Amino acid sequence: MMGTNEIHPGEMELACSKSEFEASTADHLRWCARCRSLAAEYRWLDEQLTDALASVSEVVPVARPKWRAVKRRIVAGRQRRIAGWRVSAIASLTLSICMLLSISSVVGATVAAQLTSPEAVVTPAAAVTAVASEDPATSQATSTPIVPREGVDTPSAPLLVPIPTPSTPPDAEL
Amino acid sequence: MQADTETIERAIGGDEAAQRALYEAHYAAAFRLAYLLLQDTCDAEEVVQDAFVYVFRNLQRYDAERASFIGWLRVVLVSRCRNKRRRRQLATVSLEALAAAGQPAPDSKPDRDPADALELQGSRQAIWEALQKVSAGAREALILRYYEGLPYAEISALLGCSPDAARARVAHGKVQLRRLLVEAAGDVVKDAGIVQAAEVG
Repeated sequence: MMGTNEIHPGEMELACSKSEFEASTADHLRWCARCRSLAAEYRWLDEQLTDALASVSEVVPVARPKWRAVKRRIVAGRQRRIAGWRVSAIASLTLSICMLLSISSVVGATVAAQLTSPEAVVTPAAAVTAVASEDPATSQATSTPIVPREGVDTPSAPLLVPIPTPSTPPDAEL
Repeated sequence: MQADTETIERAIGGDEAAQRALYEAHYAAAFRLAYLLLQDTCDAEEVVQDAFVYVFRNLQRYDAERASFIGWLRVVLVSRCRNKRRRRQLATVSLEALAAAGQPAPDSKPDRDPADALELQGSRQAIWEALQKVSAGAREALILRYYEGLPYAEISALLGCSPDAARARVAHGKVQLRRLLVEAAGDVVKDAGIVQAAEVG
C-alpha cells in the first residue's frame, strides 16, 4: 500500500498543527503508523501545553495594580520633558546671543580699524599726468583729479607738462 | 471594544479616570503574559508597569486602525520582557563569572516563583517545568501561540521575524519540549500521551 510518499517527514513537520500539514505529509500519515503515532504525540502536547499555560496563568498570584506608581512615573516623565525643553531653549537663546555679540564685535573692530588707519587707504604716489604714445593721433594727455583728504598731506604733484610734439611729421621719414 | 475605543479616546485627551480604567482593565492579562514569559512575579510586575508607562506616555501615537489597544500593549510588553530577559541573562553570566573566580556569588539563585509553588498536577507540571528549559525564542513563540492563541502573522510581528520563521520557532519549541519530556519524565508522554493518542486514533 506504499504510495509515492515513502520518505518520513521530519519531526518539525510533524510538530506542526494538523491543519498546517503539507499534502504530502497528510498523505504519508495515512499509511505510516510510526509517523502517525509521533504526530498524535504532538497533538497531545498541543492540548497539554494550552492547558498547562492556562493553569499557570490562573494560579499565579497577580500583583496588585499600582496605578499611583504608574501615574507618578508618567507625571515625572512629563515634567522631565518640560524641563528639558526649557533648558534647551535657554541654552539655544544664550548661544544665539553669544554668537551675535561675537560677530558684531569682530565686524565692529574691523570697521574701526579701517576707518582709523591711514595706511589702509590707498593714495596714489603721484597723479597720472599723461599717457604718451608713439602714435600722435592717439597721444593725448589725461589727468586724474586729486581730491585732497582732510588731515592727510597730499604729496606735491608735478605740474602738467605738455608733451612735445614731434618736429617732423611721421610720413616725412618715409 | 466600542467601550475600549471611547475610553482610549478619553485617555488620549488626558482623562486620568479613563487612563486608570484602561490600566485596570488590562493589567491582569498583561501581568499573566509577562509572568509566563519571565517566570518571575517581581520582574513581571516591573515590566508591566514599564509597558503601561510607555503606552500612556505615547498614547497620542496609538492608531486604532493598525492594531487594537491590547495588541499594541502586547507588542510593548513582549519587547520589554525580552529586554528584561536579556538583562537577567547578563546578570546571571556575571554572577557565574564571579563564582568561577572563587568568590561566593551573593544570592545566585534568585527568589523565583518556581513551578513547585504553583499547584499544578501531573503532565501540566512536567510541561511547565520542561518549558523553562526550552530556548528563549522558541518559548516566547510557544507562549504566544498556545497561551495568547495568536496567528503566526501576529507572532512574527511581535518577535520581529517572518511568519514562516514564527511557525518554525513554534515547531522547534515543540520538538524541544517533547524531547525534554521524554528525557525527564518519559512516562508522562509515553504512558499518558501515547495511550490517549492510541485511544483517539
